[in-house]
Amino acid sequence: MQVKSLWNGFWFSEAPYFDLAVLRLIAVGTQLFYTLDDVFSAINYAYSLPRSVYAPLPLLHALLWPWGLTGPPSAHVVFAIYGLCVVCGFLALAGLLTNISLLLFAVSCLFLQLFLFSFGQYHHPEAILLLALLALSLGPCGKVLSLDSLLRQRRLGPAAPRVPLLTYSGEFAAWPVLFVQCLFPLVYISAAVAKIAYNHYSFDWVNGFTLQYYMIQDNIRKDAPLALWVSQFHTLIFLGQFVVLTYQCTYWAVVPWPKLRWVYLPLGLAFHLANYLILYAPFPQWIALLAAYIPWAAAARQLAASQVAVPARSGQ
Amino acid sequence: MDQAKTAAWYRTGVTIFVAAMLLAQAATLPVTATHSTFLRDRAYPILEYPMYAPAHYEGERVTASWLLEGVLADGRTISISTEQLHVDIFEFVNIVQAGLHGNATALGTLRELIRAHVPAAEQIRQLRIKNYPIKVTRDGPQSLPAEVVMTIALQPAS
Repeated sequence: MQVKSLWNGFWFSEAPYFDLAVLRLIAVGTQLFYTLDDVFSAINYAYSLPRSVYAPLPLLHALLWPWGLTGPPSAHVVFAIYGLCVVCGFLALAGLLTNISLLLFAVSCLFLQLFLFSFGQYHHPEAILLLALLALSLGPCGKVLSLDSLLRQRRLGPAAPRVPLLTYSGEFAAWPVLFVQCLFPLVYISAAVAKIAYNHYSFDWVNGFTLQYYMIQDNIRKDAPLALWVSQFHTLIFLGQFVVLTYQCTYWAVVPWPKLRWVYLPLGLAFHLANYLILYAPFPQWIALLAAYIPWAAAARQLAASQVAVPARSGQ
Repeated sequence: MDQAKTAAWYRTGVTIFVAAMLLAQAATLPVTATHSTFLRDRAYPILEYPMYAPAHYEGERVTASWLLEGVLADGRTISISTEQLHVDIFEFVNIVQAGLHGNATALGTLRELIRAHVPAAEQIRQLRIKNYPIKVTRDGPQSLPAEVVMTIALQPAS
């Protein structure tokens, strides 16, 4: 009984709908940008590869199995899903039929990602955002900052009781945000476990040379001149590796002690921006989702209530 | 159904979703710890995150990519670039490394790419794969000679 009440107290406490809506705008906006900027050309590239490269991921295989498909689905089908995905993405961003459009957006994005990763290579930035979109689509993320909410207000009429936007809250507004907050520590711990387990359960990873190696490697692969330049500074890189592993091992502390976010968020931001600028390893989805740790409504309330000192007017 | 009952059902649904996703993600940790690289993207979108995880050491050759060299029927050699094969660098490295591990499909794909995109591919009798001529040192990259690590026979297309 106590476990149940602790569980419900954690996931289903009253929280502002505003925070959830801001996370929806950021998550959908980021995924939509990525879909428009990258996915179309990636699909074309996938179809240009030899057929022998195609090895469907298990979930894609399961999705295609009822249609008896063993090879890649036809380009018409994939581009039709891409079109549906873009339309649903814009609807979810605007907040029209929010839950349905966001669910379709999340599922079609997942399908496209599964398809693209069935051609031999996969990358890490996308998965966490896809899970976040799925969670958001199941939560009340269109309650505010959406066309749905405008239409609802119009239906209710001017006589309906009103509450301030920033204090409008509900018991189901917190869980998608908390879900993202709990997902990040697992992801960072996974990265830390790999760094230890892959190297015979040692801390060999933190030796300076490892990151120097990857900087040289990424310069060769991606023409990253900054990585080549930084790769000369062994001691600095050694210290950087120590900070990275410590950060990944201890990030979980943000969940029980939320105040630690003000240490970990700037560090995380700096870490991902450095990855972006030096190694050309962009994780924009992760940077965007760090927004889940920011109490937007409380911050906006505090900002609106703050006062500034002004010089006294002459004659007063 | 009254509102309280709907809320209770919703809470149950959310609990199942949240618990399933977080437990699945957490379950990757022991797999990563005991069977490195086993999971890869098999359970996508549940993933393990071994980005830049293998350690590297002073003096190690940087296997950022591979150099391809075609040996023609008259003994001359030509170099074959990744751009010529119309694949991105990650795809190229994946295919070559799988081939070096004896994956016949990957070697077949490499042959197919060469026949499809390299001019005068029908004259190539042998394909040499060379390692990358760079090593890591305390002061940054340093060059070292490339070595042939695999030679593949290429039959003229019938």
